[in-house]
Amino acid sequence: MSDESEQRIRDHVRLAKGLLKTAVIDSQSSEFDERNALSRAYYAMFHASCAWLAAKFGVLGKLRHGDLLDEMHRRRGKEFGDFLRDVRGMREAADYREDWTPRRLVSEDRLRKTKTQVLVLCQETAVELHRRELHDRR
Amino acid sequence: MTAVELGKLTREGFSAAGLWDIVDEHKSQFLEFPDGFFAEIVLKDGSKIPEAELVESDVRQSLRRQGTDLSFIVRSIWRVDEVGDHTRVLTDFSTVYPAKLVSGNLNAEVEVVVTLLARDRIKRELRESGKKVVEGTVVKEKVKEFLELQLSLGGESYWDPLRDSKRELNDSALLYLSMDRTVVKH
Repeated sequence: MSDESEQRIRDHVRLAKGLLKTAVIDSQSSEFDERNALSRAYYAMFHASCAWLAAKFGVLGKLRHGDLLDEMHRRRGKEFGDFLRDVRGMREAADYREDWTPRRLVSEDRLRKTKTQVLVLCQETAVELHRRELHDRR
Repeated sequence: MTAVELGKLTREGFSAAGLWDIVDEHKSQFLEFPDGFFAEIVLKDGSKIPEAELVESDVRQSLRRQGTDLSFIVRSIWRVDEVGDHTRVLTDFSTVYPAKLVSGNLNAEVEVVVTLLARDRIKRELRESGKKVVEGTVVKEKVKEFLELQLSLGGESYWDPLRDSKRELNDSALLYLSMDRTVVKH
């Protein structure tokens, strides 16, 4: 893997973790805070998935959202793919739908699960990069 | 040929072989990519994987004759039956926990290496929580939770405990096991 590719992966991880930190709601949060959190959570997943696909499978090109979904279905299984699709659907509702109102319990559940999955993907990416680094040194 | 038709073809092959009952239809999937089709068949009994692979190989051959490519994986659902007490301490002070996994009629023995940093983190969390729980019990619960998460993932990156019987639970992994509740600040 080239230095440039590795840097791109690290950039995706940085974005994923940074966005995740902003995907938080509390008891004082308004509907718009909730909408923003759901939207940011999806993009955190998007960048974490890009990093993971690139590190583990060498999928490095710019992926459209639909292609990324298909790739994650294939590489990480149906349950994960369905979850990602669900989070993407919530992001679209949060950003575009004026007739939709987030439901706090559902939002909390999705944000909690998203956070776990983003961290798992970022950790697996870090392990893979470390493994490659060791391999290159030899 | 569409992904739905591939699913139908697979179902017919598995039904004819008397294997469809052990296929988890909710976890199995059939996808279409520019370079061909992909099938992931998930079984409830790991002991049937060799038979299932033969059936799907037949499906692949019949598709190939029509000029269509198919790549597939057949895996099974595992559950954590038991996590034992730690068996040994490694030179870097990591501890090794054995676990028994079950998939229908198939068993697998695996080992989870819990790093020193992970143990320290568990100790610290226990101390801060003020709970009176035996440390070893909490570590075993974390090992179980960790294994369940690893086994829940599918697709081409799925973990086959028969091929790779060792996993490492480090402090980073603990972070995502422990932080599940903290996404919502009250």
